[in-house]
Amino acid sequence: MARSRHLKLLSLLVAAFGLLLLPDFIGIFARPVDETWGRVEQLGVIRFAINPTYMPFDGLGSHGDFFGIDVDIATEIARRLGKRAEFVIAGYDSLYDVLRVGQAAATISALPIDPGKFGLWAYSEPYFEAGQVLVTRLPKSGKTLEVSIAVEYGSEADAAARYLARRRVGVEIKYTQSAVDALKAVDNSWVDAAIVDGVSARQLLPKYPELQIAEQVTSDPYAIAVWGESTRLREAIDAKLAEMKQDGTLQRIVQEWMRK
Amino acid sequence: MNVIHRPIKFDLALRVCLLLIFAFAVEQAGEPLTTLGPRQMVITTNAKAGVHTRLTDEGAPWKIQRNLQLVRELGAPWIVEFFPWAYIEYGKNTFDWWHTDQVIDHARAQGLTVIARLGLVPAWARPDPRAQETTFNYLDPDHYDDFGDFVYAFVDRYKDRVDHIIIWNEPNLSFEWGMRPVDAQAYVDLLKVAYRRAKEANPNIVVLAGALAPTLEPTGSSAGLNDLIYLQQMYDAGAKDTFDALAAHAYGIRAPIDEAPDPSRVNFRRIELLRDIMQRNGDGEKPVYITEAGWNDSPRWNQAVTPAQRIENTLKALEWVKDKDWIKVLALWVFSYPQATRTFSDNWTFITDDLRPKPIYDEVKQQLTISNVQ
Repeated sequence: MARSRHLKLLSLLVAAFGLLLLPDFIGIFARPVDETWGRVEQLGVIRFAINPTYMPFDGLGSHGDFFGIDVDIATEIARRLGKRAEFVIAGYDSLYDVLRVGQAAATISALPIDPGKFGLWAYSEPYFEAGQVLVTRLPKSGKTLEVSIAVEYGSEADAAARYLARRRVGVEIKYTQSAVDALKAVDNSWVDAAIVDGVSARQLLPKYPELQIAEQVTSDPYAIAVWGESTRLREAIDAKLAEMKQDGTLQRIVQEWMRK
Repeated sequence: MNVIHRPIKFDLALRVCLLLIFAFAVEQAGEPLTTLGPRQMVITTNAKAGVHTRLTDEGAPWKIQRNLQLVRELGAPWIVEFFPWAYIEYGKNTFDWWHTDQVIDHARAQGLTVIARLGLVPAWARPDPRAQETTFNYLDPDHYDDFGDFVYAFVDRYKDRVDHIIIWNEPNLSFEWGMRPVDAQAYVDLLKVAYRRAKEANPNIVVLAGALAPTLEPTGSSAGLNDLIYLQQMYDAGAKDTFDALAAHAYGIRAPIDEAPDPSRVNFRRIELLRDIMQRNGDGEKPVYITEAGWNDSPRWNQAVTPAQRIENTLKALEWVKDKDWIKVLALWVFSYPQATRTFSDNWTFITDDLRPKPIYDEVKQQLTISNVQ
């Protein structure tokens, strides 16, 4: 009898607990309506917000034409989805707000991922790594030991080098006026290595065939932003980005613009 | 013989409860214990050096303390900090001083002098949003006395710890004036109330007017008004007896420190033009406190300079103010943000959001702390 009462009490507790968690279970499986994707499907257009002031990613021609890495990536994504890409200019401060108010479906503008934006906004998988990299000469033999590192004075590369120097005995920092000068210093063997940002490294290294990216020092990936509820659009963008990475299209777009 | 058996189910339940309590305690990691510690002193080669901290939204006491320790170690004796009225007096005569106490007490413990900027209007002091939507910077004359009451309460509470307050911020910008056309007369009316109430609480408090935003916006612009014109309008409206010192903002934009002042340009030395206006209005004895200043070094912003230029200009600016008797403080914008903004705004900061010094911090520290050591 007592056991039967205990079992009933236990069943009631489990039922009550289950009811409390029911909204969470529903949330896991239910998806909000993606109105942005609905508009994209209806119009056959993906409108990308862009701030065309940062080459080689985002530029604006004198005839109002957009060009750059982001433009080519966005155009290709739209094409693979059977849509057309359109671009709208947004101020740097409003690249996210335009998504909130529906003026654009997605933002592609060399956008660093901001964890503070998660929830209201969402990001695609990263399509470019802009973080600081360690550049060395191609090793002739054995392991290269980086003791002297050239960096642009005061830059984020400088910050990364100082952080490294505080943690590794014997690291010596040599300051230059620019990322170009830092790479020249390595190329001329005046220093063992340089730290430069990922964009500068990829733009400049083709001119220095003896140099290589030896290590990713910091991470600062660029991604495409969408409004948080635009789940289907984000998934569609991710799927096409994955295809483009797989078949080499993404690398080709980046390399072509980095060489210009 | 009677043997008493402890119920197995009770034993099991007790163990499960203890396990849950343990798991919860481990999961909820506590914050580092923070105490004020012994009173510190700032060692510096420049008694006018300061930074504008941004601890308004920094909730963790240990991070507040660590930020202020780093300011002291930088060699900057002054901080400017924003204490929002809306955060503190969330209902009329209902105050939450906890965060303000943290910032001010930790600043004092680090030997820092606080200049407190007061502003930001609570919802109860603004129109009913159903009747009229307004922004946090909207304050109409009907509530000037409420702001005055807050100023009194703030100054009174901290009379032994805070000697300087700034009334409002950049009132010559529409955004800072509640998205309304700027109005120097209205600002001066506000200043009169705030000044009177501040002095009632503490006759020795230094009341700073402004600071005005350096801008070339012409009369009639919806964005704001040229700071030089606005300051003269303040004097025309009777501002002279409503403040003890002028707070000013001195941004270099893309110009070096030594570019001469010019009414048609926004550069660091534009503050000399503000001083000229003060002198023309018989206010030459009043000092100027530069409560925001600096250069930005973002590669993504067309109003920025290179990192090397930012360092050079900043070091030169700190030297430049040393022999200017009329300048009391040069507070650089901005020491840090609680979270990285992931925009060009991050390139104003001296340390990262995870409290790592940037190269500019190291260079300024070297100048402020050891440059004169033989």
